[in-house]
Amino acid sequence: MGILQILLNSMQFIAIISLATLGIVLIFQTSITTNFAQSMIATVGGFISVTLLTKYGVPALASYFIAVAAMFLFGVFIDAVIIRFARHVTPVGKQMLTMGIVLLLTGLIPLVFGNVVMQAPKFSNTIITNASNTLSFSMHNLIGFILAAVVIAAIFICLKFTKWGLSVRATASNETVAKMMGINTRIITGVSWGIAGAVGTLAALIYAPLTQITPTMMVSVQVQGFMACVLGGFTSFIGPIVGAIIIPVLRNIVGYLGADTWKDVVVYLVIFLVVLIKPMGLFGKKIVKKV
Amino acid sequence: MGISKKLLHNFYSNRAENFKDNLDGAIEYNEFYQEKQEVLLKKHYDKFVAQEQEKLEPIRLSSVLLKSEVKIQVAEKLKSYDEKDIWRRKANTQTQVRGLAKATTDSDKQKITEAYETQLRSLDKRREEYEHKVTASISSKLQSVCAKDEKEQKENLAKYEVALAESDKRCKAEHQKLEVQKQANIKAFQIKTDAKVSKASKKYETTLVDAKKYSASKVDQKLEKNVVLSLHNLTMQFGGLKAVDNLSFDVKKGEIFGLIGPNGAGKTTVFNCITQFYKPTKGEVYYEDKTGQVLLLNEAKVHNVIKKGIVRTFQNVELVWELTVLENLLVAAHSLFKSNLFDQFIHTPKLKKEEEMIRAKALKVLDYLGLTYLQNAYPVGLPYGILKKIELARTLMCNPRLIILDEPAAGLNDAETQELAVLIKKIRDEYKVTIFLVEHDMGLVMDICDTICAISFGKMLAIGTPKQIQKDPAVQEAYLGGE
Amino acid sequence: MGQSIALRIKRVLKHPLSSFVILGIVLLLVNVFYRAGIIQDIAFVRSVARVIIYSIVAMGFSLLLGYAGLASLGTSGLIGLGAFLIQLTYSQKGIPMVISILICLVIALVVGALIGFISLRIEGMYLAIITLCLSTILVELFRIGWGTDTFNLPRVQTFFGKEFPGYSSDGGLLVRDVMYYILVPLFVIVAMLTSNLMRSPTGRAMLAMKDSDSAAKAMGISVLKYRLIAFIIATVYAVFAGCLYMFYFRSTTYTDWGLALSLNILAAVIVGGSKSLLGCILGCFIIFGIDGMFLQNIPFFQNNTNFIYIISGALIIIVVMFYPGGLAHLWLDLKILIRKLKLKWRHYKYGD
Repeated sequence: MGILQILLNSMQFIAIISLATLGIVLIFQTSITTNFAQSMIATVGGFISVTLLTKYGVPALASYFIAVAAMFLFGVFIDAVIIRFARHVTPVGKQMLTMGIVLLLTGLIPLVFGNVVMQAPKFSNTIITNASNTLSFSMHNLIGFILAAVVIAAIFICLKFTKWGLSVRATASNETVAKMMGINTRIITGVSWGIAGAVGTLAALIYAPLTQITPTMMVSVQVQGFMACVLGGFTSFIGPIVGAIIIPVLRNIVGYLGADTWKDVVVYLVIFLVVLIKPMGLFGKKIVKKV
Repeated sequence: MGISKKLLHNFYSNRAENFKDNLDGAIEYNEFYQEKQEVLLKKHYDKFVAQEQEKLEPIRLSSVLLKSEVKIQVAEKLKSYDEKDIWRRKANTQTQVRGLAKATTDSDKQKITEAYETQLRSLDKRREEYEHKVTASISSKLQSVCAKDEKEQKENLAKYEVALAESDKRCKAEHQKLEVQKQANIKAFQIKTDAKVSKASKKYETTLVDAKKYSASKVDQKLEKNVVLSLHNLTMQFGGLKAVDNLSFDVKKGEIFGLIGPNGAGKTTVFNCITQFYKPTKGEVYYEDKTGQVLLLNEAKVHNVIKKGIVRTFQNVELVWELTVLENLLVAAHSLFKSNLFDQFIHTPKLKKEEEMIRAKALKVLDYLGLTYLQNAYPVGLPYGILKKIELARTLMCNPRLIILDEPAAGLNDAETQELAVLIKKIRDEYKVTIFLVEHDMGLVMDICDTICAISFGKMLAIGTPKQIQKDPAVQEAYLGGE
Repeated sequence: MGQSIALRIKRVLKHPLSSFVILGIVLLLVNVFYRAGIIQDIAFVRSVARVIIYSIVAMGFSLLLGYAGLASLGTSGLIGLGAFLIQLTYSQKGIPMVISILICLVIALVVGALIGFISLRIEGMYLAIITLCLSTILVELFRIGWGTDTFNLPRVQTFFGKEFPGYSSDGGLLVRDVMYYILVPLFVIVAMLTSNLMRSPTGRAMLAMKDSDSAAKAMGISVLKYRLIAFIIATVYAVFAGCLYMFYFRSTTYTDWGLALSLNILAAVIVGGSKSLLGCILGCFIIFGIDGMFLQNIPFFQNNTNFIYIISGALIIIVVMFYPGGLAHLWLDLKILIRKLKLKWRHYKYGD
């Protein structure tokens, strides 16, 4: 097992966490909310997909697509109904709102989907190995990684080069001014929530086959997505992605070195030190208020 | 070696400051104590007078005719009865009004009016009965006490007058006694205060001498006799941008000094450099503090600036929105509180005394600015002019020496600006402070400032009296538009 | 004569500290009722004890969040730290109870000061996550260093060398009673001290610091000093609560002290009102108490454990959206509403 194998093993988690973190940072920048419910919404999407697949025999691709689309709409719905009504709430209050959503969904999922623990099949069960059998790599891993990379790249390109991307960055910088410039910020934030939901669901779809399908299955992903945002800096888009690459690799390295129990501690320690040195994250920038 | 000298100087300076603070605090508390004693005297005296009146009552009763006294007392009882009765009558009227509004047929209306009149009659009857009852009971009570005829009345009146005279004497004596005690209390406290003050004074003087021993001599000569604040080649650079460029001027004690300049000239930056919100890139800010020492302000920490006697307001009103107006003033006096954390955890008498004193001070300041009615209101939603006044009130809480105002007239209309001009002058005269202000409103600046300094792009354009500035060609070109 | 006594009682009741004393009496009665058989279930009393312990944490957190405006997600880790530290000092090293607690508080002071210094450099969300990182690191270090996941505390039998009154050699329950009777007065004292602090210059200074950094500095408030105070108090309270937790419940595992608890305490403080102590206590009661105290006895909720999540979640959403000041704000609104209604009734009756 060398560094290469570790990197290969990390790829699926890089994919999962970068998708989750993209959702978090997108919502943070456009609605100034730290979204605790990101992974919960993703979990609902995962549940939808697995239920369609296993209970109703819907073909795999269709169920994935339906799940993603449904969660996109759900994200928009949450923005329109709840976040919009909480305009006057402090940022901490908005965090609490998302926490409330988490609790609500945690309670609702078993009611809606039943208490049976399900299993999701992988995208593909093949395992690729290289000639000398020293490296192995599952197809599921590869597909997941490529999907994530494509989606993230697409969103980045849109952000940088399209009019929509410009609107998002304008809203992220200053919503009031963006509104005055003629940008319909309600649509922008709504779409951002929708994208976050969709992207999170994609992460859930990649992650689901690797674990048991329970309402709390994405909690660790949520936490790691958050950590990636902190590491990279909430004020940039590229930072969290970098963070999402560093964290799984770091964890796998520690795991490889044999100290499984130290995985979390090391990650937290690294984040702690990084933020001490760069208080706004690796790529974050500080906004200074004029006195 | 220079470092230890500096440390010693700082050490002694801080000690001197502490002693001066204790001095001033003791004197202030002494005044407060005197006022309190006055209030207490009045309270005790009123209580004594009330007691005397009670004692005299039977004699007084014996000196008046039964009939007249009964009349008076019955009238009083009826008055308080009527105060309650009026509500019943109002309710009655209101019932009628409501009923008439709802009633549709004439017969219904008739019924309602009848009910109203019946109730009215019964209320009147009750009043009559009450009157009778009360008259009877008072009469029987006073029967034995009051004078029955004129002769008895004249005799008892004489007795009453004698008793009254004696009572007056007693009251006067009591007042005298209380006054004497008050004076004694005040004197005793004054002695204590004087002892404290002299002790602190001595320590203060010696510490001051020690401080001067170690002070960097070059600092002392930098200020002329009458100057309280002096800027020497002040430069503030942000990266490549020189916001303030080699600025020097003096602010004399007790004057109103104005800093003007076009937008972006760097006025607020100068401010922030003086109050240490920014540390100047180059140059020095010298200031003479309450102890008469000259300080290099550059070395002070932001939150220590107020202890030296410099207070400031902000361009965007920075009040504490979560506290009431009165509490905002209490926070402004934060540096005056000497209670430590322990005192504050268990609210020791020491803390209570301080709070009482500073609360009284805050009320006085609010009164001075005409804002007493707002003391328990929250600043949220109050008119902008009032918010600015509250900010101004805040600056007066700490016995300042130099008040720095950042665009005090911003957002005010002409009338309010006039009021502000009068107020600033009043504050300068009565509180004996120096006022430094930055302002755009030319009317205000030319009106109240003794000296004006005009800057542009961080550099000095001119400095002088308002007339001189008005005539200065450079200023006219840069700012006044060649009027 | 009777009137003046009534007036005096009214004046005493108006004092802000009296509500805590009354609350303390009510809480003491809970255990008395249990002993008297009026309350049957020990789980009820345990739930109340849990609410009390978390309330202590919440009060410190309220000072931190509501007054100083600082966020921290490491709260539960710090409680865990307290629990593990007391196990170390009391159970492992055999140090007597009061001194053990004092040692833990001193360590808490140091940790709190550390976080306070860090808070000068790091702000907002980042600070919250850093506190989470720090407290998780501390807890994990304990767990890794100890090698076990579960920690137990033996029953406290003696107090300064004397046996507890009423203690009998088989009476684990009786000792728990005594623990409860110690817990409640400590809680009341902490509440009164915190209330005093909030109504003192320190409380006002923190609010000033929260609303306007610059104005606070200009008024002589040292941001470093008050952030330190806020974090030290919050940390000390959390660690103290952890010690009390161990003395009462006597066993814990490290998974008890995860992010979920921190978020629940944050929710309790916000639902109750971040500046009001009674609000915090009420918030803790709602989030931590109702489940164990009442709902467990209703079969419907026993079978559908998920319903509790739905209720808590909905409650949080409703409170945050409509009463951002928490339930304390709701209480004030109620008082204003009652006054308005009174006026309306007057107008109706007397037409003025």
